[in-house]
Amino acid sequence: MSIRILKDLSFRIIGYAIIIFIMIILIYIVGGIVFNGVLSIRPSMLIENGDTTSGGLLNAIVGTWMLVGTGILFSVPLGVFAAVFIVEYGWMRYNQIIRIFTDILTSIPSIVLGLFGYLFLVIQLGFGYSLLAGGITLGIMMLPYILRITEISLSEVPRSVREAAISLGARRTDLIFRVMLPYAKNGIITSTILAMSIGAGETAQLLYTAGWNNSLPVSFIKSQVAYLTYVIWAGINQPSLYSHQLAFASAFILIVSVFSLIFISKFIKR
Amino acid sequence: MPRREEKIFKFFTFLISLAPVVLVVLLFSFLLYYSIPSIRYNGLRFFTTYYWYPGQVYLPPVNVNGILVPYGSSFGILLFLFGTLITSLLALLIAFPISIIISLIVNLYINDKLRKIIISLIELFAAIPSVVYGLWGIVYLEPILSNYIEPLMSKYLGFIPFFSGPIYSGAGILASSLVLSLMILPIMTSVLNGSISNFSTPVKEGAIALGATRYEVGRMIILRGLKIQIFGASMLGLGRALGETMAVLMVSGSAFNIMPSNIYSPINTMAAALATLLDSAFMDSTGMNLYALSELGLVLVLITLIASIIGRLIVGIGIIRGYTRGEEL
Amino acid sequence: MDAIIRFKNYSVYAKKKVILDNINLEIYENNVNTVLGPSGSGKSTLLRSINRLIELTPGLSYSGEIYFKDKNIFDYQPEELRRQIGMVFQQPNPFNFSIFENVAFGPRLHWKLSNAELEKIVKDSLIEAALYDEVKDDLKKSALRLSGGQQQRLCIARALAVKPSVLMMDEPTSSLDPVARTKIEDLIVKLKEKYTVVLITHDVRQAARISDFIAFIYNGKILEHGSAESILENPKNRITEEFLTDRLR
Repeated sequence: MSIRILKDLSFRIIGYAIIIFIMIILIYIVGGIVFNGVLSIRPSMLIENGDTTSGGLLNAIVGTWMLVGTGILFSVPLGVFAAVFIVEYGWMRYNQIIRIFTDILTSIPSIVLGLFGYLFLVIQLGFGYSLLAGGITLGIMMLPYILRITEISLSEVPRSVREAAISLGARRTDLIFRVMLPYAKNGIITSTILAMSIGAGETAQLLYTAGWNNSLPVSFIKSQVAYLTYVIWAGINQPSLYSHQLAFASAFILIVSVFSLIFISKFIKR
Repeated sequence: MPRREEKIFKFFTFLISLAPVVLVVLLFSFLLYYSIPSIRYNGLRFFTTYYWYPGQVYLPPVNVNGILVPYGSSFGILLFLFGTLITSLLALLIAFPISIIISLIVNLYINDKLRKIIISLIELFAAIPSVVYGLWGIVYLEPILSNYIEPLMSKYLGFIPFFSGPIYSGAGILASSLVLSLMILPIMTSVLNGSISNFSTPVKEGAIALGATRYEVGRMIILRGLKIQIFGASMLGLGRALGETMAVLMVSGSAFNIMPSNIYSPINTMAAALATLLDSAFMDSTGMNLYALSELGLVLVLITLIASIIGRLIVGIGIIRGYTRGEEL
Repeated sequence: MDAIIRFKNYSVYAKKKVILDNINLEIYENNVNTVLGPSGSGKSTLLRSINRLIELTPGLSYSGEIYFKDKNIFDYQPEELRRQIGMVFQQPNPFNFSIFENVAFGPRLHWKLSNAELEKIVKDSLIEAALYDEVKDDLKKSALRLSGGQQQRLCIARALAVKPSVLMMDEPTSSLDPVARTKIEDLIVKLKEKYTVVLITHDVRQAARISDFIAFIYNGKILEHGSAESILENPKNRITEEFLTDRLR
């Protein structure tokens, strides 16, 4: 065997080994969480409120989706209409500027976003630790995803279809609401689902904007909210076995939800 | 809709399209505004010392050069800055060859169908929440590191600087870097896979027709066209690693006021320190703790932005395909 | 004969290039008016000028006037102008909706209609476009699942549903097979009883089959205009003659 073939073969073997090794780690992480989660989770956890050391996870589960929902309510309208302006009315220079700022927004570390949420929403606007403060902070992180994916879906509407609508006498707004948005519908739904899956897994933004609540929040502001990722972080740092079990159960619920959302999003045709 | 309402709608969407600008400007304004007292009070000391004491917030504050600060407080971020840079760079060092090799292998040796499966499995790493990495790190990675891997490394690689010496609980620089490398692997692999598959087919076929082995084609692809994309992908990965909070917070060992002696030592990063220290900062009636942490956040965001913006400018805008978290934005 | 559309010294320029050069042309009511010419001669720009679709293309400037029903087209609201002047494109371009929704799209834009009225318009338009019998049982089916020829007739029905007086067609059969093409050509001949048809084509045989009037356009200039027979049998311009003979042979 020539040295060239040998090099090719060894590169291939090393490469396959690395891929297999990385897959094993993936299975190790997901499997480890699922294994411990299944051992730890009790039906009672799903129907009782708790405080990360005792009780259940109901407040955290519901709180997580309330926060995610608030984030979606904040980010989807902003992202979709911003994308409409960029695709329909924006000029190149302007769109580039918005693109740069959207990129900056994506690059901001989650804990810095959390600090901003604390300074601006909790203190300045006086929301306190609350659904609105936490949800909007999540929404700020979701916004770039919604905006970009909607923008791409809108700009993929064929030119001939736009021209058909206009040649029938459609105004700009008719074109947007009756053609462009229906065409981009699947893209918007996909981006929303993905934003939900990301939002549900966030912790650092929420530490100083959502707080913690042993039951469900009673209003949008000045009423703290529990969430699953907090249980994981706080639970594993406490000495009791039951805290650890709560942490694993939360991680299990979280992983299953996040993976399901991603799975669903893959099945939506764009 | 009548013409006037058309104009109103256009103006309305125009205002909304400014949201990213408004949010970024607001964020920087708030961080800067809250940083100013700290910048005035701490000056350059902020970057050159590694002692961070919130001070005795329950004692009456003391007056230092006309500024009220908690008794005994000291704000130096050198340890956090070092921790952020060292864990991120090590993570990049680990993820860099892995992502290049994987994206070459899947493009050169593996059929399209299997390639898509492997790439989407790797993208799943990006879907795992940060705090779950932390949990896994605490429960699985740390014991393995402190019981098996670190003793072996110390014994056989001890001749390399910073590889010898005492072993701690497993939480530390090595654990943080390993977890971070897994977290940045998807974005780097996706970007590289995208750019390699974009131009590999014709190059590959041409070269193989001339009798080159696939490995030689791979080396050629890298040497020829991809240097810039590789650099861009690395910057995107680095940008993500620099700002990562929860996973590192959980496996770093949360070191305060002690510089690490080797790669097994506990460490702390800017993001993790920010998450830990904010709680007590609210107790400080002088506000100086909050101001100093705001400055810390400002420095962190600027460092992260530099890496991400460079990466994005290089990789360009066409990286939004599969929509998992790692891949696109 | 009544001219429903009149071009007066109309020109279109891109940055440095002249796309349409001093066009003077009349489109006659209830006839098939064909604009014939090689590709790149400015045919599409001419057509898109009439319903101001050209305004979607940035970087063009115009001079001269176009009159529709003796009123300058720039004195119309563009939406109303486009309602009265329907357009069918080279590639069938139905919306990604059901057949019914495609045809109902236009009427919904312009009028407030009851369901019964809307259904009647959709049905009448499909009948006029000779598509109704083929699709009457599944109006809810996606328009994209129709064949190319059916899609093009759907696009015609969609254009007719807003009750235009002119129907412009930009090489409507160029992407279709011969059978589908013949159906559309027969349809065009039928439609001229009620509508004025402006047809663009580079196919001399098609022009010969269905035109009443032919304008020959070359490099942005109208070289000849007259009745179909006079142009086809007695071209006065050398370039027209070359184009016709080359193509006919």
